[in-house]
Amino acid sequence: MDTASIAGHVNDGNSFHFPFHCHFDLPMIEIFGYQVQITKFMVIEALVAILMILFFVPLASKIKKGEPVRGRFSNLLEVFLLFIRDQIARPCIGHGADRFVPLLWTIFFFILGLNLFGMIPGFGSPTASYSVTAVLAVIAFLTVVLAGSVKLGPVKFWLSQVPHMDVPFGLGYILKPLLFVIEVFGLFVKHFVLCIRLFANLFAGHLVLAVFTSFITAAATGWLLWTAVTIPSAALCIAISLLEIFVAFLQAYIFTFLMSLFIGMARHPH
Amino acid sequence: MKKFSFTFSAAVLSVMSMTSCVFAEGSHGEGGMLPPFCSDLALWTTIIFFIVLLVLWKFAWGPIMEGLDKREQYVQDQRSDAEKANAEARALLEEYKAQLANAKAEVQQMRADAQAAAEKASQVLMKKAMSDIEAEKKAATHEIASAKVQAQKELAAKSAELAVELAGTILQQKLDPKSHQQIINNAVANFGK
Repeated sequence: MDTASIAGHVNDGNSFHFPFHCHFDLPMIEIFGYQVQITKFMVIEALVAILMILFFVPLASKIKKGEPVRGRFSNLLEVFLLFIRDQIARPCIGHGADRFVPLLWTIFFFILGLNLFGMIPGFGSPTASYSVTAVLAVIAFLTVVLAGSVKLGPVKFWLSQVPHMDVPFGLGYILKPLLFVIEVFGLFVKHFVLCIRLFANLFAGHLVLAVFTSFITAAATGWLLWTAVTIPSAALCIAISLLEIFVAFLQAYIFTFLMSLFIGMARHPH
Repeated sequence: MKKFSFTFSAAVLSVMSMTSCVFAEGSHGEGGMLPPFCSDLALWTTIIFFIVLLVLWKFAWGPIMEGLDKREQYVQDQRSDAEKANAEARALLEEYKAQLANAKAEVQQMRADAQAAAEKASQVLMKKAMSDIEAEKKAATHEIASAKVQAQKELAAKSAELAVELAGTILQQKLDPKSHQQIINNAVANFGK
């Protein structure tokens, strides 16, 4: 089994493969004369969206009255919601943070859902595709630019990218344009890194899982070798899976945290 | 660094190419370590994300924010009410303590006053009693002295009378020793009366 084949199990595809030879091909549909192949990641994204709606709309009806929610799962969801609002959005963004909280909640739970779907056999993590993480990074970038532009005004927002400097007369005219270019480039890079960090972490984690699993099929030449390889491979897969569950939460947190931080920096540049 | 450069280049090239998701029949993405950028998936992600954002904003995040704010306000109100009640209770406690301290001081003062008054009264009574006793004693002494003088006077008068009577009797009788004794005895017996 070569690396490309292993990566194929991590990447998107036009079919689902479940244990015990269950196989589902996904259809190709036509939208406005354009042929679109429905893929595994598209289905997972739709499932995550449906699950989010199913989880949070009933929760909202419970919380709306202003009374404490009952039930372990509802309380768990509320802990996440309050953590994002009180420990991420408000400290990072400062005044006016509550306006961004719904977007941050959506980003966090969307990423978390996409990450966690990778832990279910037969599914995958759409966040292991930079086609998905790039969209999320672009959304973060646009939010940051819009937040800064609305707060400071478009011109002042871009000018505020250059930090305040006390330089002798004349030197500022040379340094500031250079710094402007560097800082604006940095702004793009920061969001590009958001995309790559999420993608790389999820992709690498699932790739490692796929590699450890592939050892088992590679060692299926004799029962002794197969047994010797399967047990440590399975143990390692379990350990990496536990790590991946942690990474799923961690990366959702990091993305949300950094996005909040960037929004805060855009709104309060100095 | 090398891995990052590779990823970076692959991502940039993929974005530039913007290929749609085309897979071989029945494949699940085989063909390379990193698949090309899939514009269909990106578009789908954008649509799904904004749909879920709008739906949740309308039906979940809005009510949740409202509910959380309401609950926070309720908790804050309860807390400020509790703090206010606590402050009031403390003030009342201080007031009651002060009143109690005043009452104690008042009671002590009253007790001290009562004790002083009682002592004064007892002293006055004692003084009066002493003076009464003294007066009675004086009166009794005076009475005794008067009675003594009276008795002495009466005794002297009686003695003189008896002496006169005795002398008369002696003069009228011839006295033998026996009669002499008899007269003396009678005189002594009469004297006792």
